[in-house]
Amino acid sequence: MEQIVEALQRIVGPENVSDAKPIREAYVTKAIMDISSKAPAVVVRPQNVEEIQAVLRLANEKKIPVVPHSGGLSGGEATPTREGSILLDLRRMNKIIEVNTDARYMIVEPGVTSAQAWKHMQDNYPAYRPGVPDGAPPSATIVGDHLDRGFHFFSTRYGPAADAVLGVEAVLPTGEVVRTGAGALPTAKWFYRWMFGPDLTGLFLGSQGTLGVVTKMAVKIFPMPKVRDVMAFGASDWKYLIEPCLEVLKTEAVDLAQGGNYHLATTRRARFTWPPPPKPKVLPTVWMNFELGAESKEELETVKRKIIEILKRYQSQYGENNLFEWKLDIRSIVARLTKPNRISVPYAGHKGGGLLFITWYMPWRDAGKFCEAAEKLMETHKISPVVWLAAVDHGRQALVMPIVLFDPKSSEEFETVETLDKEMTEQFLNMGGIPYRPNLKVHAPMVMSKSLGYYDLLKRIKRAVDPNGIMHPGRLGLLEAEKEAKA
Amino acid sequence: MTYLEKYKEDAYNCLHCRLCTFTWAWPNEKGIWPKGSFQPTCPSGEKYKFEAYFGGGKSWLARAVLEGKVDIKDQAIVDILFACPTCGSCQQQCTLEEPAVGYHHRIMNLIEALRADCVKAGSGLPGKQKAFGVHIGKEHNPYMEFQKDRLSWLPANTKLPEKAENIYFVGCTSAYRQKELAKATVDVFQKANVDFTIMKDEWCCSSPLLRTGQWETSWVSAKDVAQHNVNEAQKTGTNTIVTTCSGCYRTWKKDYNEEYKDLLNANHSFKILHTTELLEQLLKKGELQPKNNVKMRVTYHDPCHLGRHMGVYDPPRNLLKAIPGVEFVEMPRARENAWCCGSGGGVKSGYPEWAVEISIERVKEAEQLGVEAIVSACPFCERNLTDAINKCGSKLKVYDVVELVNRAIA
Repeated sequence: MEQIVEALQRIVGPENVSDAKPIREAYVTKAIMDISSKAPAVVVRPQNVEEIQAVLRLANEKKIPVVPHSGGLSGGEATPTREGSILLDLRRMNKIIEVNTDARYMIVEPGVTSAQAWKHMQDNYPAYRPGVPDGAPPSATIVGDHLDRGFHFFSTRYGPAADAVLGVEAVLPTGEVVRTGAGALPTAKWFYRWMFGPDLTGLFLGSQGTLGVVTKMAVKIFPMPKVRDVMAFGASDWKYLIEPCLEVLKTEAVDLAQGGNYHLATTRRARFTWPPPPKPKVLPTVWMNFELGAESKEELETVKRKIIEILKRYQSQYGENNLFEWKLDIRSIVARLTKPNRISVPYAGHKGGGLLFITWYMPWRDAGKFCEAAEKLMETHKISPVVWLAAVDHGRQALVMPIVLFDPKSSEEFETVETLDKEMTEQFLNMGGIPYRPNLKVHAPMVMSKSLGYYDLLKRIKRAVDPNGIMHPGRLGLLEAEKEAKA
Repeated sequence: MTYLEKYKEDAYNCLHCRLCTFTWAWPNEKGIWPKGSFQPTCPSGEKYKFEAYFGGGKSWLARAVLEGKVDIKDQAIVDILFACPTCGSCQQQCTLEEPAVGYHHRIMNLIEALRADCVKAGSGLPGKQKAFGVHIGKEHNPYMEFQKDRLSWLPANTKLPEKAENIYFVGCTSAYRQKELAKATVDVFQKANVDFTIMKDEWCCSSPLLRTGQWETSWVSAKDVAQHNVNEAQKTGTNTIVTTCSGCYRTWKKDYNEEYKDLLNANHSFKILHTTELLEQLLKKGELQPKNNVKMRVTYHDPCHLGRHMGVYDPPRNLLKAIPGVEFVEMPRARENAWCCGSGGGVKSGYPEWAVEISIERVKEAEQLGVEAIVSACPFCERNLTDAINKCGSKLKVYDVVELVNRAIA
């Protein structure tokens, strides 16, 4: 490794390379996506595409794993680090390259944070904003969120963040630079995700760094509504919430819809006890917020009236105790509408910082059943049943995210969480869900093996693009493909 | 047991969300974020860039140390731990704390405990940090000066009573380096008829030792130093200790009685006031009447030890606003979000050039406001800001609030 470190220092400068253990350990995280991460062998901080090309050529020649890391964030640090790897900390590449308010996109480097992008637009192009993550801190990057199909503050209206990507520039594991979408042609602007042929932009979205290092990305910017408000439905049970919310979502008038069960709120302010604290009177058992935006107050009022009509229709069927409008106080409304939001994951106090998101996609109509199943499984393991639910693309999809809080100081609890993850994966697969970000140990082997040709195709693509299997080994369950490549 | 063990929960509580890496100033009613929001806030992280240098990275490093993955004697840990002015901005920005449920993320304590473990293991203490520790053991100040000269700045004709209502705790920086501030303080107290005295055998407050991990060493004991001061103060029969030094203020008020009470065993019942708090009280009672015109456009630099560490933000501002002719403007990064002057946490002695570099960033921020002066409320800040101005050739002046108040009163 000593020679590798020296070679890396020649590429990016000695001050941007470190194999010191204290430096490497500070990048490790055991939360959110993966609870089995280990420290990389060396951390490298490149500044430009040429440096990344040189690093990847070196890594490819020496068959050293590479883990790209733009901001590394979901609700907290989330990039699963890999033992023996080169960790590419991309935060020096933080330029906003272009904003085009006619074609409505911005091009950013991987280190541009949500806060930076938001402020840049606020100060220079106040009518537009990029999709910044909702529920991840402002230190999360635009590229990271879009690349990983994140949930942004307009995701109910416009779909997951990846849907807003209009093209990427990436360095392949073998060192070549590629551009996708309209930006592939040097004479064209980055206005369109497609070139001729298949969607090569999509190839990189959700790839979790397994196919190359994204060095530029064009993302859509969206018009900011002039007036905004939040409404909320509360219900005594998931079964009373799902159907009326679907009716609201079908109006296609909601910017962002998200909610959950009361544990989502109470665990933040309560130390772990079993059974969990009872539901406070002020909270509904389950709820859904609708963030609304419009060009005028009148337009907003029309939308709100429509939502109330839907509510009343279902109240006559379910009863007003089972479904009701949950009037939010002004503080809650301001907190919801403040973007980028400060909320990262305010649950560390509950059990001391251990956290795993087990996130699944499913059709909205099935979401209630998934939430219930998640709660029951978590209760079986005496884990506080915290469940978050959100609507994507006007409710064409739902995101159900059990937030598993555990004590990171206890090895037994790590095992319990892994067991729960396996049980939930098995059950959710049978129920027709798909995992959001499959991890190496649990989701990938269970899910990929059942796919209809999908996994084989993915492996073939991986082998073609990354013949030595150096890019983020293990992610997407592609370890097998990587081993085959090495053999 | 290591010092770090005490803060184990804190280390594990970090979710590593990196809110600690930038300022947070809430948007206005129209949702517009002010200039001071999302700005760099961690001098250490901004300088060295690797994750370990930011607050969250240090927390995860603490976890690695606790789990035996990183040896506290690893030389690579020294700069990570000691190249940090412990300004507390990371902890300030990490407002995910829920003390009511026992959730703390005291990054500052993690850093200081790790430093103490490092020193205990025979490592750490870059630059002149150990030398000043040794000197505090011998001559009770970190400036390589003699104890006998501690009050040499005091005008010979000054008569101090044996017993008084207040003790003016001068502090080493004012006593040996920013003597004009010490003189101005005495001047103001005399003009405002403050009943005060100065301890005959005042020692360093122990802040430099606590901040650099020199807690219990073979060359100096923070406990002995703290206990000496408390005993000396008790001899005067006073109730109140007033200091112009933000570092001394934090140490007397927070470290002796709360933060390090087990380590120091120097509990006391004195009321501790920063000079700006005392003067603000006098102002409100009408006993301090700034009447002279001090025509000057100024901004105020919050000392970390007074602001973030102790929550004292308004008294110095209220005093400035009460001075006729003073036009006061805020810097974008103000109050909780203030950029550190760079001299604290042992950085001035451990990394002197970088300390000034940090301060130059603050000077540049002030210059953009078109002010004539940066005013602060700490001799240590005043000193480093002055060094920065000299280094970068700025035309700004640096004053302590007390110095301007002194000009304004008859």
